[in-house]
Amino acid sequence: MALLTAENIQVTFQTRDHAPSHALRGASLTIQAGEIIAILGESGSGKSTFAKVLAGARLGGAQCAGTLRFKGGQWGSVGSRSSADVGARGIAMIGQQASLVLNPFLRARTQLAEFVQAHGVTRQQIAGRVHELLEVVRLRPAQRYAAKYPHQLSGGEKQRLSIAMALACAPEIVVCDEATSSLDTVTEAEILELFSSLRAERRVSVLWITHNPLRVRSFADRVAVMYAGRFIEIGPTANVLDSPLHPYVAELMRCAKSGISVHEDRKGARLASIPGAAPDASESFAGCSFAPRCAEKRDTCAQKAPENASTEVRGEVECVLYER
Amino acid sequence: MSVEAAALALRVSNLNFQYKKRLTGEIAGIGAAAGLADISFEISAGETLSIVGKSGSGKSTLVKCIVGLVRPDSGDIFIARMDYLHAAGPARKAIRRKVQAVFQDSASSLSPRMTVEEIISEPLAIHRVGNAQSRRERTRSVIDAVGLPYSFLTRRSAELSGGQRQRVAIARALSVEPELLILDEPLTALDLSIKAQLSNLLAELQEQFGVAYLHISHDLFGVAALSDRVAVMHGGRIVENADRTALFTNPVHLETRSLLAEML
Repeated sequence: MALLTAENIQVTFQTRDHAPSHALRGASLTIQAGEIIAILGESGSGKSTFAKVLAGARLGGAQCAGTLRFKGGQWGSVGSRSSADVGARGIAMIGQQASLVLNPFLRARTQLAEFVQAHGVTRQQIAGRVHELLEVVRLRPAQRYAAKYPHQLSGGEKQRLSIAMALACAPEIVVCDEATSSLDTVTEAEILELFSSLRAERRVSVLWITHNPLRVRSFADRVAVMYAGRFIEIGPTANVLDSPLHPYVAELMRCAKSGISVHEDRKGARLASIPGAAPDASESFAGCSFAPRCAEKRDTCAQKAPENASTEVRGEVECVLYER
Repeated sequence: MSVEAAALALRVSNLNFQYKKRLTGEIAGIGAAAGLADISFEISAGETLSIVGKSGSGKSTLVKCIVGLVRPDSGDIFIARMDYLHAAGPARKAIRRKVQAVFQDSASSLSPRMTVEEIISEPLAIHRVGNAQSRRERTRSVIDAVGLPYSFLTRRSAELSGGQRQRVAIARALSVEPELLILDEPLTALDLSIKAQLSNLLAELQEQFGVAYLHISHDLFGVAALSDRVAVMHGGRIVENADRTALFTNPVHLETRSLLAEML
């Protein structure tokens, strides 16, 4: 069942001094109930703006368009959140830096209690619910962690506490924006493990935003790749990582794999890289946004935007090579 | 001094350091920050040693010792065959010129007020290299080497992308012709395709300038391609130090195996 549908989301930030910045240029994605979907993209591709749209953050001064449906009901409007919005209670968000959401002057239990209370729990139930949330995120023994201040927690523990805060509203979707990017790989693996079990135990959907394709293989059900504000390929994880359709995704995976391969007997082996850089958000293009860097581009690519070619098995791709 | 020792860019022997009590544990919120315990290793001229390890393994403390931000309790550091820890005044400054560093977050290590030209030529001025004319030429030659056009010389760091900023940081480090470049997580904050471009650039620059690299990383991306040797740190110690192929194909220490397992 489609839990959340985002259709043709467009977000343009207007600034006084610079050209308008097109963060999202028609992003469409459907999230199923109980699914873990990874959103892969490089800086400026629009991943964080997409996360904010789903989390209902106010995008001050931005022009927004598109449709959001959560469990069949339509959202008020994109880029703002009101109590009337259907998604307001079902979607929580976690950012990269837990220290930004934690108050350094409050003990873990006090911070958590604020969130628990905001979601309509009676005074008598608060302590029990706080304890339960600490257990859920494996901050054990919960009694001991409840009394700690943020500075007494490691980076991974802080992120667990911020996850507990996100879970206080019993969300159906948790949007994680680079939630493990500042953690080392072992701590990251523990957090991924935590989300896998949350999905299994509570059927929570996870939207996992990352720039690192190597860590989603055993974690995500599907991968959606963003480039210049659109989803250019969406498909089952193994397909996207191992036999990608879009030339950009293929190049990206070559970069990723060459960075960790040790086949060469001597050092100095060059890594695969994509020439040039991703387009700036202020640029506009008539055709395909990847055409200037694409090794397989056709004559028409610069003029005509590719259509979404979708197949049941392989997923969706926006590239002229797959149009019928 | 033996012929072999003469070619060393860096020699660290029996380095020990403990953070003082008030800086450790829960008070500073860095319960994991390790000191250094009996660290010894060498880097030959033009060679790359990568040091990998998890957060809190002591990598950053080691870097701080080598660039002189932290004074070790005991041990020796020889940079370009000169005794760094026991040098003072002009002698110390002369040694300091031989080692330059590039850090992870170049946005915070480049002054937002200075132009790229000012940033790159500042070390030349500090070390009083040449005259204004020769500094300008040197600046143009290193910005060329890192693959940026001359038009960037008048820009400021806020106008650059992450990858371009890192190129400027590399150019600045290379301007004074160091023998050793410390690369402290230089690729970590960058996008994948930019990581690959930068890693290739570093490999080319090493071939061109013959500079040795001490490359620090918490993950193994790019390590195989850049390194001659790889050392693994854990709890303030080097637990394994091996030839790159040996380390990847036949890891001995548990910590190395765990890092390799997490990589894939």
